[in-house]
Amino acid sequence: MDPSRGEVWVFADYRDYDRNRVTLELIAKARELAERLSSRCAVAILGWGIAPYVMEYIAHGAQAVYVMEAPQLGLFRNRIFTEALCHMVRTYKPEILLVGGTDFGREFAPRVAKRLNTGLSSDCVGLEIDERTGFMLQTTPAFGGRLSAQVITPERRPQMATVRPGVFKERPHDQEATAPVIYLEPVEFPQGQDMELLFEEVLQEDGIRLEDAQVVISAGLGVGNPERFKLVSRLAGLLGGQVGGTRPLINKGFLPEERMIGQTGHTVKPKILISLGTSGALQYAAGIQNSEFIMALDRNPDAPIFKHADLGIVGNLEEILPKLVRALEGICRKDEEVAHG
Amino acid sequence: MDKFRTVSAYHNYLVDGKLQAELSAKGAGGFFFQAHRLHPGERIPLISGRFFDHRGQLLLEVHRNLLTGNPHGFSLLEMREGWAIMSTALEALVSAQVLEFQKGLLSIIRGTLFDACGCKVIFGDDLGLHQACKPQNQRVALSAPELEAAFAWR
Repeated sequence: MDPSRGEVWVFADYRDYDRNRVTLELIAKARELAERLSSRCAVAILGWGIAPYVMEYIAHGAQAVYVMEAPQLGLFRNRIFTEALCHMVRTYKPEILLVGGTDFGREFAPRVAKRLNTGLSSDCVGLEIDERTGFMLQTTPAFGGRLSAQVITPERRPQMATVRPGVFKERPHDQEATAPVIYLEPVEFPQGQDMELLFEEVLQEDGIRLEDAQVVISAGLGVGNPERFKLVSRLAGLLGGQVGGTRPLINKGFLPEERMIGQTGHTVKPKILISLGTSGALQYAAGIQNSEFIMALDRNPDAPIFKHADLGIVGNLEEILPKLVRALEGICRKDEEVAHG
Repeated sequence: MDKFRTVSAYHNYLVDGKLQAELSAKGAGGFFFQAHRLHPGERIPLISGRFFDHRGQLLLEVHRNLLTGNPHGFSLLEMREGWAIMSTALEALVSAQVLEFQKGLLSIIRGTLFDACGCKVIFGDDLGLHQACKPQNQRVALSAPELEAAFAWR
């Protein structure tokens, strides 16, 4: 008897836990997929001193947790983690394995897939179960984002996918939850260090992260001159939002790489997204589709961005943007006057 | 076979360095020990049991932290991060320390507990509780019914 056959697994990346929510987002999606398969969602966690995360994952929807604890797993290291996770997968044979598309996950997941001789879809923006076949449909941008491909892994197991942070929504924390936890004996780790940690430094980000922002002003090449860009920043300031941009704008040096929205940048999910001068190319749209309300402004009435927008304005940014900023400044002034009596 | 435990999202005891929502153990002469499951809102780890000294003399009976049989005058002292059951000579028979992280709690129980034969049944240290001498019927691997219960979701 192999009681765990067919589970939907999520690899736990708990580094920078308070801000890196991708594992929780994947647990939520894994629960959905598992329900479709009449299976359960489980988390595979490797590390040392990881008890708090085990409890957190249960609170966020994990229906089982597989744990391997050893001092050698105290640091996220590719070689050792690959060995350990492959051992877990070979032992318990999950149907699906999801990995967060973090810096580590993007390097780690292909190694694991190769070792297990299975397929891997990277940077998926959608995961569903095909009702007819039971295969996981992995929607992923292909050919540089010009196409959206649906990939299946019909023969090899597990079906593997990476998903970037922000694509799915995490479940609320449930303190009443309980789950079985299976502690595995550590594997024999490969000898010799493939890397040595010399020091650790947490880079400080300015302001709120794009993924966490409630209001995002997203600028495209249509904004591409310094005067207009100043207005974009002003607009973000007035709305208490964060500024992000498309790759062409970032390539021109208006924003740092960390502010890129889209397939190879961040996936945002604000309450309001204002998209300015962006055409709405597929690779960009992949990063904004989880926004609650999208307002788009572009001079081309046929721009694909309007297919994604809840409110579309066709017009010249040079005319509309200053008016929008002035109007908002007026509203803010009035609010201040009221506040100060 | 890898060992399966039920773990709570809210509160667990540390047992052999691992999480466990509740724990019970039995020994000779009516010895028993139970660490009860805590529910959200409860913050103080609860134990029940009948404990003996190393000569097999009855020391104490506890029911959910109330000292119900107490011929030697033990007392339960509440502390900032838990509690301790102290003898009149101010030696701790058993103590519990609660650690808080994220939105969960973890209790570490320390002490050494003997059954009526004077056999050390349970001891607790920084890795939490450990069972010392295991009753004959105690298994390390899971039995078939236990496995079935563990995977009852199917």
